[in-house]
Amino acid sequence: MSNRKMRVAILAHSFSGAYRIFREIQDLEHIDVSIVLSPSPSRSPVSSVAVNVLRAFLDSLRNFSIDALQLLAKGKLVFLTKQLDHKSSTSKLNQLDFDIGLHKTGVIYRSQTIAAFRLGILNPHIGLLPQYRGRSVMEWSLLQGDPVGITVFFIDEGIDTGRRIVFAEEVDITNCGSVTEAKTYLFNLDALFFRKALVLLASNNPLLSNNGTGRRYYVMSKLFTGAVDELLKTHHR
Amino acid sequence: MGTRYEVIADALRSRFIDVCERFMIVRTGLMEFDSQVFPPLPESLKTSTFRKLEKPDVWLDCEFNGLDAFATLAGEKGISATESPQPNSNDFLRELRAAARKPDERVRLLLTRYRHPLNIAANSEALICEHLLERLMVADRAQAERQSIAVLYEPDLLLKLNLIAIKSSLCDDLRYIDALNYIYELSPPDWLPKSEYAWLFGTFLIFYARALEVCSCQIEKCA
Repeated sequence: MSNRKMRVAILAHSFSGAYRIFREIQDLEHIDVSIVLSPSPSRSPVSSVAVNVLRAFLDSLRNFSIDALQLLAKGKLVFLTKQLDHKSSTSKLNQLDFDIGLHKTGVIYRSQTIAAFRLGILNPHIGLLPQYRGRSVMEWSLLQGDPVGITVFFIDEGIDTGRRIVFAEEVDITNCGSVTEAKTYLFNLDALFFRKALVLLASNNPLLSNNGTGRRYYVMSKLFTGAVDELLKTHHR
Repeated sequence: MGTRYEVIADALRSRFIDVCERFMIVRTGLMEFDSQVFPPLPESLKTSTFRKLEKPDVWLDCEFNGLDAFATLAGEKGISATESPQPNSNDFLRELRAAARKPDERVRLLLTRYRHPLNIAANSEALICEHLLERLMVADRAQAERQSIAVLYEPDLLLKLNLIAIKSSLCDDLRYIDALNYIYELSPPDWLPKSEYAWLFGTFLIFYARALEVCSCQIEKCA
């Protein structure tokens, strides 16, 4: 890679979620971070922008920080008025010339959005790939007696089928007493895992291959989720 | 406190009791529609001793049309089976996918192929089962959660539930039985299908109960 810094965009609906990741990675010397906020599917574009401006203001007050203002002043806090897959959004993303996107939205990306990033979009999936694809994979791993962990990989249009895995790591969740607690714990590790992935990518660490041999899992029933809760409680005691 | 296996087996057993109770309620409601078609209460539901079903090694054919075979199998009666040439599964999957927005056609395709319902558990049907599981847990589930289970096209839904219930009692992949768990939890306790295929809800509950019993026994053996 040349001396040019790696241009990284945190893709999110909410400023608060993106800002947590920003704070974790902003000191990495080899990257140049922006935050790109797209409207939440449940809100209108106008109210999405209004809510995010308010959040940015409140987060600045709470953290005694002017990061949000600095980002805005440098053009590194970008508000999209349409969904990420909309032509105007992908056109804007192409102009911004990012190398990597960090996934913090709740949407599945289409090819034109993924292609707007030179290397692709990273996803911190709370399951170990290739074995555990899809939904409720933490619960399914526990139910089947397998290790729990996080895989950071470049997404494609499929469900956790992206071929390029940056790294996968087991995570100990025996400190968690319920499914909700364990999922919150894993989801909150996203910033840390993004940081690790960006460091590995800068060091030209070889990528692993997702060979697509795993099963796709679906959202787990209350019956089995209850069983997993009981298993977690047992380990927690 | 129990092991992982015991915790899962306990959960499945508790659901078994619930499904049997639900069957009795549903049976009374559906008998009013058509007592001729509705499967009788299998003794096995009371005693938890189901006739052993075998995963077929060869493609089976039988004397019934698809629907009668489901009723007979659910009633714990044997179906005489003859070996028959296996139809191509890749072509069938393509046809099924092409009919994604034609539920009547999907029902026709499924009923034709699974004239003998046990064929769904044959190794050759693995990709078709994955497809049915995905349809049930993505498209159907999403629509049922957005609106209600009553808005789904009943014959397609009930047929899928029956097939997946049969498959789940003949495999050790817990995703299949959990799809049934999930849809069962989505359906209100007083839900009664209204179409001419409504009785397939009764056969589904029997196959589901069977799968719960079989899975809990298998898991207990692992404990």
